[in-house]
Amino acid sequence: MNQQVYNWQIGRKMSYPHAEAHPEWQFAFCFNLNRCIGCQTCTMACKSTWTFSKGQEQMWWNNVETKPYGGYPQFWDVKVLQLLEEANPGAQKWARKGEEFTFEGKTIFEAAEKRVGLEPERVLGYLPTDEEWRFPNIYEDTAVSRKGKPMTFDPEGTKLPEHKTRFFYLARICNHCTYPGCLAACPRNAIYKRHEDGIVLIDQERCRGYRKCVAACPYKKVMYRPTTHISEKCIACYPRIEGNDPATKGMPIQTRCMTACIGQIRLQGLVRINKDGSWAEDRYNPLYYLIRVAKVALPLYPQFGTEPNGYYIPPRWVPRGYLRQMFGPGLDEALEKYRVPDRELLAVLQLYQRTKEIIVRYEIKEGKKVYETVIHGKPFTLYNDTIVGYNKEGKEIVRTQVEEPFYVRPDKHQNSI
Amino acid sequence: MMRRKIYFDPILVEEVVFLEINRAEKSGNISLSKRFFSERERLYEQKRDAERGGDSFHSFYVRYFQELGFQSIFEKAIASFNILCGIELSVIVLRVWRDQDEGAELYGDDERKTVRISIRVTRFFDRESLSGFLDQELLHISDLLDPAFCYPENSFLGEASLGGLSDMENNVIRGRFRLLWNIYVEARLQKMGKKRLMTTEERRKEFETSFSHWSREEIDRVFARLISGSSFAFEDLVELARNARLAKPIGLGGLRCPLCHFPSYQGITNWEGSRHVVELIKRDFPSWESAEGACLQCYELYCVPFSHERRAMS
Repeated sequence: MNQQVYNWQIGRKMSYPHAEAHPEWQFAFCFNLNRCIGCQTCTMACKSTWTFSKGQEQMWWNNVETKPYGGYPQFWDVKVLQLLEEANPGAQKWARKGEEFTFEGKTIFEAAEKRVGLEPERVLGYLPTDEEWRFPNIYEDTAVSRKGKPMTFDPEGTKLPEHKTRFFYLARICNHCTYPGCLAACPRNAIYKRHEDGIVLIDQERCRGYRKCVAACPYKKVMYRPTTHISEKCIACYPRIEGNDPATKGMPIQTRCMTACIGQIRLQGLVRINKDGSWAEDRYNPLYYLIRVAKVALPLYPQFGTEPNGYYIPPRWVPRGYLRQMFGPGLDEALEKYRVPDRELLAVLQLYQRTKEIIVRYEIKEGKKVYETVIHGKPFTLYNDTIVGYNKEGKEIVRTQVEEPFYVRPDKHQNSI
Repeated sequence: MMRRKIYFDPILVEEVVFLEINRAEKSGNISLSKRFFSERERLYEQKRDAERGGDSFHSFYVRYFQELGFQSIFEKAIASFNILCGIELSVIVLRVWRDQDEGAELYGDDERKTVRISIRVTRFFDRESLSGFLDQELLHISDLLDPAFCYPENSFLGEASLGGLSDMENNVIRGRFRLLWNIYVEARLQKMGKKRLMTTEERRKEFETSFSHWSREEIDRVFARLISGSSFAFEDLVELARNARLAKPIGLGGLRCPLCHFPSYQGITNWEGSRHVVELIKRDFPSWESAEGACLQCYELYCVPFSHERRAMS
């Protein structure tokens, strides 16, 4: 019997196979897709740490796919959207009430309830085939473009606000959802969400390889390993989150994929959760600020209904319709804010990968005005503010400026300018 | 009685059985899936982590693979080819991920032969298509073993020289040979009352594209012979696959440039007004006759020194 739980990302209560129970802290991350260069350093950092042994061929807990065509497994998102559309034709829509949006369609849990079958399913999903798992980076760098003419460039191809020739990289790990599809589907209750940090894990002793989780996870971030006959997934590098890495003396440290990111697209942290599942007010936590205050970072496919805890700053050159489907109705506001960032947002964006430790609080020290200009018809003033990040113990772990420091090389080297 | 053994890739067997049980469950056979999962749960309880993947899982899946009738499809397919029944044979069935990796290869010596069949898991869920695929691949293997087909011994088609003057030309001949062989195989399968993977019309289209340099009459004649059930040997098919025009020089109705030996559709045969170029070519190729022609690239190459010499003289 399904329960009613509140999902803030879709603005309403929804049906879920388990009763509400929330962790004290929630693992969360915010990726800035405008910065990702698709180098796959994150992918390899994860792979070389956790999934290198026999049977690892399909274990890509972290992957970076080229959108719109790429996907691992192939077309995972299109397939889930299609299943939902088939279950609720023409009604997968968002409604606006004042400033708030509500999803009026069916989530993967609600759509499954309506399915008439011999064996009732808890979650609407599908099991990808071999063909769909075969290439982790299929369609890499493959762009959408207008039909071209030989030996000519499209002069309109890369004009903002929306590029006509385009692709973007979508970096993905497990979203450690608030209402995980994998957890809901497991017939053995082998999947659990940790009370201390909301990380979703598979109990390797309990798992019996039913693969219901593989079918149920709409993001397809649970993978079955045939050599051990059990399923595996991203563990959010929990020993690092627990502070067991000797480098940080007991302080939580960001995951391998985050700290390896050379494009500095990733910021990972922990957000405090109230007993009722809402986010505790934590105004100066960088993730809280980006997601709940500035609202510049959005969940991936919120309409699936799992309340994912991975958030993305959408790429600003991609057509809005495509992005709205992917990130929900908050898209326009998020892009507007990112295109012409205010003083605080610009400062917080400097915190990305300046330290390996998890920043739980930031502070901005105001600096001098550098210049004024107009961006996309809006006034913009740049201040050289300093932003300071603190760890769980309140100790300063990072200090950086909005304007990058400028160093002049002394005139004593042969190649000095 | 000759010995025959079929070895199945354990991961292929597990995947096929698991997905077939899921399909059965979805189509209403709940009792089968309940029995399967409850038996499988017991295996997990008996085994510790380190031992998983061992023999008990394998024999469990093999049992269901047999029960679901997959093993017998392979056995029946092999038994329907006399040549394969008359030798010591091992068949290894491996899982591949892509359709272009599917196929069968023959290995071994005079004493014992091994056939490797590479196959995708999804092929098992359409049993008719699975049988069709096996028949097609096994008839190719039978041909390799058939003395009448005269396949050159110890030769891999992928590496063999097929009489072309370059690797590129050998590749083209190989592609055409494969098509001819497939048509020949499918025609015989049809005669045997077996399913074919492509229709005659589809093959005919492919044939016309690959042999577009032939006249309509020649295409009709050869295609009719291939599907009539006439007997062909390896060398007959290779001979058809070769392009005779590549052996002749450009000026004599062929495509080959007598100077660089590359095939070309743009040949020079009329040398009027280019006497100096002819002399320059003859300086390097004394036995060359202008009637043999040359490709446009070679012609241009010799035009350049000619124009330099003329500029130097003026």
